[in-house]
Amino acid sequence: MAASPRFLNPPRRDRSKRPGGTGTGRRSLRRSQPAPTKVIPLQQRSPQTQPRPTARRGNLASARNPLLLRFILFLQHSSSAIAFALVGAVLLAYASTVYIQQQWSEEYRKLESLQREVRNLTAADAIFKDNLAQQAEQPDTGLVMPSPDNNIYLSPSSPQKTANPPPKPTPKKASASNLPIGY
Amino acid sequence: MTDSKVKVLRPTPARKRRRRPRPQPEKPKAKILKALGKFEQSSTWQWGRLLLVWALLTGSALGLGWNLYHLQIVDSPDLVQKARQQQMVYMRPFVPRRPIVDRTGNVLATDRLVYTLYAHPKLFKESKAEMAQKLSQILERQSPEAILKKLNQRSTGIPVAYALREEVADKIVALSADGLELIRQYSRLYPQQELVADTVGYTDLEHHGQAGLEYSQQQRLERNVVTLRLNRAGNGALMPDHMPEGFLNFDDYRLQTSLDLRLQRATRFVLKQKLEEFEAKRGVVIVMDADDGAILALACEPTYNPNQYYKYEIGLFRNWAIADSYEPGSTFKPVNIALALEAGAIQPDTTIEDTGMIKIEQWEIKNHDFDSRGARGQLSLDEVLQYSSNVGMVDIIRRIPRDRYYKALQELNINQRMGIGLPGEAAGQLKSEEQFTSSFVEVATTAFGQGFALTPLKLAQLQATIANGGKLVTPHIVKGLIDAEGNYQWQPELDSPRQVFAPEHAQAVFDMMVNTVNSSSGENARIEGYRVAGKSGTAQKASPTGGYYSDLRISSFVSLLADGDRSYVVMAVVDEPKGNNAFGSVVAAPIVKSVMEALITIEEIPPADS
Repeated sequence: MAASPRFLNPPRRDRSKRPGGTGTGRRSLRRSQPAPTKVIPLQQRSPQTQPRPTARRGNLASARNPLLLRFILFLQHSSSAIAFALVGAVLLAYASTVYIQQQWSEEYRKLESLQREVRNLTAADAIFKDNLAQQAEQPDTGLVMPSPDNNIYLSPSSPQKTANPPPKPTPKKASASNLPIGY
Repeated sequence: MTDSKVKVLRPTPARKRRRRPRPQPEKPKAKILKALGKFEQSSTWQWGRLLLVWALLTGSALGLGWNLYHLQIVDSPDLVQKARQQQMVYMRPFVPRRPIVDRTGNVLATDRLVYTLYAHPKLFKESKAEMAQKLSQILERQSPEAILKKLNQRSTGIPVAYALREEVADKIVALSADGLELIRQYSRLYPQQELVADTVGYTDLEHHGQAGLEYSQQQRLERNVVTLRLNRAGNGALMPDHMPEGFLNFDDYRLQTSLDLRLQRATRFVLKQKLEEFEAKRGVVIVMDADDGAILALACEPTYNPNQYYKYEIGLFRNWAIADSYEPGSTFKPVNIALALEAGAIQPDTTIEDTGMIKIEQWEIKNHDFDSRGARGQLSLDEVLQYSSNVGMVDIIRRIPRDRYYKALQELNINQRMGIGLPGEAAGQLKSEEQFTSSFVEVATTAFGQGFALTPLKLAQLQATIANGGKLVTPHIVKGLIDAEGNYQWQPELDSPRQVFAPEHAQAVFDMMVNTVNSSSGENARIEGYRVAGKSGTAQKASPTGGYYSDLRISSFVSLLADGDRSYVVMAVVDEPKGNNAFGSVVAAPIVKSVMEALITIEEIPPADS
């Protein structure tokens, strides 16, 4: 209620301003100056307009109102902050889905090429072995079939031998004397 | 024009006074502005403007709505279909069949990718001749003329080349030419070629196993192939959003066989040589671990190359070591002696009167050397085996009651399959109990290994009982599915070995067979320093019309080797060897000896003396 005159004035000012051009601006401002001066004591006037007996209650209400207002304002600010954060998060999430998919297909390609290498290596290894074995079967290679005749058998050393302590090396006294003693 | 405007403006000094003096040419502008200002203030304009903006916004909103309606409702099915065509990829990720490996991990069968090249000349951006030229540079085996001839066949769907390797396919992709299409296929590669074809088998063009382990172990070799519907991004990259979790984590299991590639190679090499030498029809060598029944080598000759299976006769795809039964002949005699010992009919020191020939009903049964040697007189059991005396064997088996003998043969599961895990396994043939027990001649022929039939592998299983202390083991070739760390993820369930002979009876027969090898008849199988047990066999071939062929025979030799807790059976069967001296001890014994020597080296078996 109290704020209405404030908001009504500026549009009027604007309208008169436009056709007059820039020159008339100052004048119209001067003319409309009294209006804000009337409005400024708005806060003072409100208790005046209110009947005295209700002054206390009015005070309480006014005290309560800013609190509510402040709370609502806080709500507004925080919700818009949350909204911003959410929008940011959504954008980030969306971007990451695109990015992750790209990464995935890149990695999948890598996996495929690795699998291919494994296949090729396995096959090549086996084919080489087969080729070597086939070459070995040719009589002119001089290779023979596995046979016990070509085996070397090592009989396990008997426990008696190991039980006997190895002969102690005789101290090389004679040779020691041949060695130069000093530097 | 400017003059006239100036005239109009001058009569309004009041306004002029309010404004700052301006240069003359600007006056008409001001007037226009004033007129505009007036017009702006008029309610017609105010309303009109409002209406205009409203109409513009409403109109565009309606237009957008209309377009939306068309896109979402009217054209939607077509558009959805188009989008699917462009974005959806039906992907069958490359899930190969599991490889088959030998017991040391050598690859016997593995998978590779191959491509078939199709040409659609109507989509070509260049002439067919140019395309043929380009393709022939990549497909080295085909001349430009041959390719051009193919391209002229029709306008689309011409198969140009099959089974292209991945490198070749890459080169064709690099051409990025319109009208060429590469279809990806799976193909099985057998790097050892014909070496293990008898057991491993082959897969057909559809990648289905058709013989050997490829056929019998199909379920274990195939991994589940799921077809996935994936979205594709604008640049062709696959989008993983509809991907089931873990679809890429296919296992790394391999099917491990008990075969030893080195031994297998030696076996096939020796068998091939001997078959050529005696111009034999076919032959088979089996090497088996007698303790658990694992087959270390199994070679049939002739055989086929599974990479080019379509070039061979269909009969070769059958593994006759397990699919064909034959009359074993003298190689069955040690089993019969073990049966007689088990039945208590004879003792290891029993002696037998060999008259060289006996007459049962109207049938004459004589020793193979009766014409040259006549009656041999009193023979120990060792000598019965050494001389392979038919009459002696008849005398031994005569001491077992017929029904008991028949039951004992049944106990050995002669007429049942062993469950080796290869396709086409045949059961042996044993006459009916009535027929068997009603006439003694049936029993007498069975005594020296004729009149019934079993597969070479079944005989190897029976011989194994003598080497391993009397246990009937299940021959098998599949060890299981192993992972990369070498742990078994699956193993076949085998029947547990069944004791059919007492260990001391098995040992007694084993010793008799060692003496057989150490006698003059076993010279070809003897290995210096080792206690090799053996028995030769030369059986007449039964003719399909009844009776026996006089000139066709099956020569075989079986060797046993035991070293502590390890024991092995090596058996060779040669079908229709040519020549007068094509006996088991001449044809098959050298094969067995060579294979046994390779086995001793590969298995690192020390000599018996040490």
